[in-house]
Amino acid sequence: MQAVLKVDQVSKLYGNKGNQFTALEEVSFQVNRGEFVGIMGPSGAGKSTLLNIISTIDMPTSGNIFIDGTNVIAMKEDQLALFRRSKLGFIFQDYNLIDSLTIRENIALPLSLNRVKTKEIDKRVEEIAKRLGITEILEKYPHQVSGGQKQRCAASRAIVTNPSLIFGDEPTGALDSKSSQHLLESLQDLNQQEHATILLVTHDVFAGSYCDRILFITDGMIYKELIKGNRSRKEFAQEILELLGRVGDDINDAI
Amino acid sequence: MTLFNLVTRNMKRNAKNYLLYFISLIFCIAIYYTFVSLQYNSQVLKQSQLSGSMSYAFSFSSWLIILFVAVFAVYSNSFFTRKRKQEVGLYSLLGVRRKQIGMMLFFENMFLSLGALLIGIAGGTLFSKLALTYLAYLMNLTITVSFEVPLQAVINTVLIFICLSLFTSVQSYLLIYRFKLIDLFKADQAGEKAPKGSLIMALISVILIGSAYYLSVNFMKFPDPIIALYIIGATVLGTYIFFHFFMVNYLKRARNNKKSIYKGLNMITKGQLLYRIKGHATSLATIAVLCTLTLCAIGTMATIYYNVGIKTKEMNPYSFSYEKKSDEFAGKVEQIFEKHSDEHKIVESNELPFLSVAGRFDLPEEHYLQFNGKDGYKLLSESKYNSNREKQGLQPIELNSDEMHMIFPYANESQWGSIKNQSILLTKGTKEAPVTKLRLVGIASERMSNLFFPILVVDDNVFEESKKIGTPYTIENVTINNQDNSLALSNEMKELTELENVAMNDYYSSYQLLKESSGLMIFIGGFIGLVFILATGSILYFKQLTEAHHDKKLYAIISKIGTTKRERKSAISKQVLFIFALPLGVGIIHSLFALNTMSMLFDMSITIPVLVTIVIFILIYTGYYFLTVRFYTKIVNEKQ
Repeated sequence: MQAVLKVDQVSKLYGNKGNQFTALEEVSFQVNRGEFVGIMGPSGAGKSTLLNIISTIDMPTSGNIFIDGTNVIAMKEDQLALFRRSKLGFIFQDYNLIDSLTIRENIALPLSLNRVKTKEIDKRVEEIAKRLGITEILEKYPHQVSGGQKQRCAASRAIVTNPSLIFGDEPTGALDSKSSQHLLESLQDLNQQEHATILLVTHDVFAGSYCDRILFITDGMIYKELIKGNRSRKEFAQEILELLGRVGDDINDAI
Repeated sequence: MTLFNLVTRNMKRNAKNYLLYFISLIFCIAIYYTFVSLQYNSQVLKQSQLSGSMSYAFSFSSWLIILFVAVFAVYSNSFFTRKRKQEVGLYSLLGVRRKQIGMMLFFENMFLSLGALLIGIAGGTLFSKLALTYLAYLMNLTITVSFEVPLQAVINTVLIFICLSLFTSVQSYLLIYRFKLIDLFKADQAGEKAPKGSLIMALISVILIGSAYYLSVNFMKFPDPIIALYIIGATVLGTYIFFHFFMVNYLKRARNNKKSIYKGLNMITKGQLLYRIKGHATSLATIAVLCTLTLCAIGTMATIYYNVGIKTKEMNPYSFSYEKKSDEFAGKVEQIFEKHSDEHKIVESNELPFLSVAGRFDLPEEHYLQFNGKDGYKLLSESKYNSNREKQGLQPIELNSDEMHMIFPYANESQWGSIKNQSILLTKGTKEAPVTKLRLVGIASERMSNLFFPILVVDDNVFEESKKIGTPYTIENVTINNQDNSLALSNEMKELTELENVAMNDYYSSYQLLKESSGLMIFIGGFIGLVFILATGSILYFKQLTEAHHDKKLYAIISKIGTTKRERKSAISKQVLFIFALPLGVGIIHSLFALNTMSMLFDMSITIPVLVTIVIFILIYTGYYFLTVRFYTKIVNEKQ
């Protein structure tokens, strides 16, 4: 299978000599095309650091990251910016929509940055809005719609460019359970129908249960990998819960 | 940590934010000090012909500066305090007493103001000598300026600015009491609604401004003070409506144009502008009106200053014109010219042989033509006049024996209607019976000498015959080189002619008087204008930087989505350009119409002085623009 993302011995150290803190220690893994992967772990485990580094917003201290076969570590800042907007899509916990733009314009922004033709932009936006069920609110402003609708708008913006990889940083963190479900189903639908590759960082078991595979990190290292296989979501969620419990026990043992 | 430590640390940390305010404040204080010190300065006052009005002008304009600086200081200070709302909230949460926080803010502002005051006065002292030299140059005074520190000026400046600092410091102190803790923590709420533009109001603004423009261009057709008032009122009102409605309409239209919106970051630029326009409209309109005012004032002064030479030359075509009373007198004059021949050579001289003849017009007694002929009307022969015209390349005139042609400096077309075909009866002596009757057939406002009496051109035969009833009256016109600086020569000529009771008009005296008054005007106007420009520029700068702080999140988002630094900077440049260029552009266009009317009214050439004024204005604003874009970019690129 083809690797969309390859993380190769990535480490991240904070602080200066004598007072160093290791956030990530030689993390290696790979995500293949069409996979829906989750990254879970207790808070402080290094989830967000890992996501920031993979998504090229932050730089690792050592190691390499290949996206679509390109080593993004070697790229300059401007190259990275262009790379991000054509290859990557982002969904953030706090939506990160632009208040002064309508929902339609928010979704269209990445396309207009890529200088796509006006007609093509409108077509793409309508298509995606229909798929995520936000066609009626396209002309509204972010402050006029609900949190769930905002997050679906953010998801639309993330996938509108057909990116190689979609990142979700706790996308359900600020949503109620119904909106969460709606969003996750939309993402799953994208993954299954369009074969979109999705990498989700979450601490929510319910969100994790939608993934094909979950990487568990604690203390900056990959602790365990869970694979859903042919099990039902409920069974998978059960396993995740058990694992979470065990991680808690380990920490208790250490004390 | 003591309060003092906290204050100094805060100031160090906020130095970058304070810098522009600090510099602007220093500048204003330096200019104010310069003005007050000029008011008390003995050197220029002694030299100038208008010392009394001069010190009055300086004291008036220093009050104008104070007024403006006060508004500016209060505005900027409220900008800073608002920006530090959250910091203040944090102190409050940590349990620092309100009074202590208030004192901290009070002392911060006090130190800042006192620092600016000290540097401002020091700078002003150094600068005032330069300013004085420049003023002397503008006023065409030849003095060597010595260094002088008038104590009264220092005391005056210190007192005024300490009062102002106390006021702004108390304003800072009260900040903590004005907000509730929860308000202090709430960042400025997002979710302002995009304003509704009204097409009708947009049209009204265009009609108001358009009609004002139309009337100002055609002002000469109906020169009425009510019309002038309408022009001013309609322009100001139209400008405010323009910024509130026309702009919104324009931006909305621009936003609906998907072709241009869906191009790079255009969406952000236009979206942000429309989103913020409501808060901006009033201040942008005010700045546009202020720009217009400043440009008109400085433009007018520059025009007058620039036209001094031209206007004096029009009125006084020769360096000297005097009555050649006798050969003995002519000899004395020759001696004076001889004495100054090193500095001033006689370039040209001509003689006009007039005949002074008594007479009266068929006009009421109080008419200016009757009045002007009290000492006898000055007759000139047709052939002499025509030879003069020939030199200027003009067509000769032809007169019959019962006709005359009048040359009068203030004559114009509208007067001509009322005196056309009037007759004059020339008499021998005032009460004698009339000898000749002449009809007025033409009028011209050309200048044949520097003197201001009306000249009657008559047929050569009439002129010969009139010699019997009149007395010869010869005017000598002399042109010298370097006439702009002929103070000594001019003074001696004045002395001699006054002593001999002879009519004389020189170019230099008129030139110097005009030069001094207009030089003083442009000096004061220029500096006040500078204060205006600096203050409005700073206000725009602060406004934009406030926005930059609000836009941090926006730029963080689009940076994550994937935009290069260059793209972001270009979006910022466009947005800031709109804010800077619009009021300036509107102000320039307004003032061009006003200045055009002014030039028509006073018949002065405006192109060069107005162009220079506008270019200087644009240059200073451009400086502010680049400064703003730089700091805006810096703020939004900071890590949160």
